[in-house]
Amino acid sequence: MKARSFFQVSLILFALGLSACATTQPDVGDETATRQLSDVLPAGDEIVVKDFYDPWEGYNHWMYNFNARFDRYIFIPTVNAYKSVVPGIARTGIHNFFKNLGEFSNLANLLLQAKPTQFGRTFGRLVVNSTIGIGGLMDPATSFGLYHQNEDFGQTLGHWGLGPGPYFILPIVGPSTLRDAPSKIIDRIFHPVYEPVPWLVDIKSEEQLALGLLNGVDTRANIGFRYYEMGSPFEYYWIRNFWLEYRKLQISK
Amino acid sequence: MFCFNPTTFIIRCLSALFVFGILCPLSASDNSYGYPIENPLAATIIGTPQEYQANLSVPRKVKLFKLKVFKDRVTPNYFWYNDKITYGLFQQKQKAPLIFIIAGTGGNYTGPKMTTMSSAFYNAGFHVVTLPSPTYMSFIIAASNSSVPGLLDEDSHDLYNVMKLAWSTQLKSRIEVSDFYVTGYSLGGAQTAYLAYIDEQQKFFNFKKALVINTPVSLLNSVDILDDYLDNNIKTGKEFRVFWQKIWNTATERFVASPTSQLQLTPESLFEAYKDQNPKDEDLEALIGTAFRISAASLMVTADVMSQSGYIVPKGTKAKITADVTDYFVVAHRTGFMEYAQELMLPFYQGRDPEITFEKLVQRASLYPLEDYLRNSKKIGLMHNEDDIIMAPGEMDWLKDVFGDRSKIYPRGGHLGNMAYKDNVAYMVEFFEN
Repeated sequence: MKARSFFQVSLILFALGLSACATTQPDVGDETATRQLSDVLPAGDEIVVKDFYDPWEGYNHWMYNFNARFDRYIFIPTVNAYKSVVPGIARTGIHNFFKNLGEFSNLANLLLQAKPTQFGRTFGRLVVNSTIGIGGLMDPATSFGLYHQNEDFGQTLGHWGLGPGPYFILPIVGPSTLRDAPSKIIDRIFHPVYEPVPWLVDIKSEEQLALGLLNGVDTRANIGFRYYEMGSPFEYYWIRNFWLEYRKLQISK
Repeated sequence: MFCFNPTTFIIRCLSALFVFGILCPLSASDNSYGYPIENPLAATIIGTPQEYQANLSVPRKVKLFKLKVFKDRVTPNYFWYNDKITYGLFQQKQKAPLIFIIAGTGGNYTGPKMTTMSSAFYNAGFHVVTLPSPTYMSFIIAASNSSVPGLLDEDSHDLYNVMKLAWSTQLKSRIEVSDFYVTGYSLGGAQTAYLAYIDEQQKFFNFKKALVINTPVSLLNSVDILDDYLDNNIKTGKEFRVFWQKIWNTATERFVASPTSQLQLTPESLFEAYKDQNPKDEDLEALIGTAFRISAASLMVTADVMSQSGYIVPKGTKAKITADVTDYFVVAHRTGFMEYAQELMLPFYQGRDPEITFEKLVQRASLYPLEDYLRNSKKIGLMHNEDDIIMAPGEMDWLKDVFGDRSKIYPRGGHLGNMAYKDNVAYMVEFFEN
């Protein structure tokens, strides 16, 4: 399999999602429900859940559900296989390694946000972990007080005042926004391994492909989130609301 | 991305974030019980900070099982992912006693409290099976006979069936078991009492012992308290927006000032905030009320759709996965559990048996029908807190009277806040080992 075909599939998914999934209203039964909106909404009151800007809900909800299925049938089984084959200490090393590669994009974004203190700390991390930490396999920097700060180009745009725009769910990756989703391409420019626009450029080597897949599995393996385990018919809404607030919180730092 | 499972994430976020801003100073405690948090509302939210926790290594391997309970039941498309229930097994290598753990209201097979308990029992040499609450969404859809949870007898029968089915079809061939035990916390505690009682008749497992932890006595008394926590403090959407913003603003301030790049939602970080800041009980109540309301809203809409009661979602409604169901979201989150009991549960059960009154329903959602059994059964013990917030006046006295010397009541801890505290963990394990 080529990574290229994977990204082409993503594009097709976008198209499918966007065309087939205009937001619909439920196909409501004939009798009205016992308890109506008018019964619970005092005159002049407002609805907080509508504060979250989600004009593409139909597409988003469809993609959320697609991601849940992908997670269940492909991603999580792969992660489980990875965990059973690769020992914990090696997995930690792999995780640290990718985190260390990610520092380039963190540095670029801290520079763009004009945050010299955090830039210095992140630079220190990169140096310490790449040397004493044996090419990033270990993370001694954290124990020296050089803690990790996750930055991305979406946060940089947010830092300079650009709002998130509509909520936008990406294939496989999950929650994002119109501001943050294209920003991921910029972040790849700063990445020492990846091509910035992988679906336009052929993967150069088998190694690069393997590294990319491993990075994906490692990322998923370190996220405890599981789709549809909140136990609520409204999980989509709660995740959306928390995600959008969480991004604001990240940008503030 | 998220670093937590969604239930934990949301409840903890809400709890944790809010607590940052509003907790009261630590008051001195002068008795021998070392759990540090005096305010029962705060204890309920914070839990047990690391340095006070029992030293538990978390078992690595949990094996998850999916169980299809009713062969013929059709799962609505919108709920496709709930066609089976999931439960967890922590397996010992050799023959060992097995303990079932029942989650609290809206709880899944996993979560912080389930982790504490399963680690404690696994480390003590038990096979551990963790089960979702009959009020958890997939249980309502895939394993509840009525799909309208809330009656302790009905729900516990559903649980007992699940346990029997899981044992016969998935566990029996896999593990060697010496004896069976059962425990549960909160609503799962009340169900534990019923499970012990059902088992006396059916004698399938012959439970040797059962421990009931922080149980309500009357479910509807407890939910009334929790409904009020929200309704008395937040009356409108506008007020909720202010509350929500306050949570996130405080979280943001703490996050910016903290030397980490991850939002910390651990009991330790909350405890730090607790010692820094000044809480108002109204805000703590609103927070606990909100967390409970999220569970209640999920439960009532699921029950509504599955039983076709037409309470919030009109009968016969079909929704694609892409449908905008914001209106149902709003109605459900503005409806108390007490209204669900009166306006959905009551008509539903009256449809099955016209003799049923609300008083009978309240009774069946309580421990009172088991009083004689609980008084006389030596195998059942109780662990609880004097200051548990879900208890109505007189209920704690009733429990003490009924359980007598089989009860262990801690002076504080709120609702389950002290579960991971070292004394509590030691007691849980000792209860089953002796």
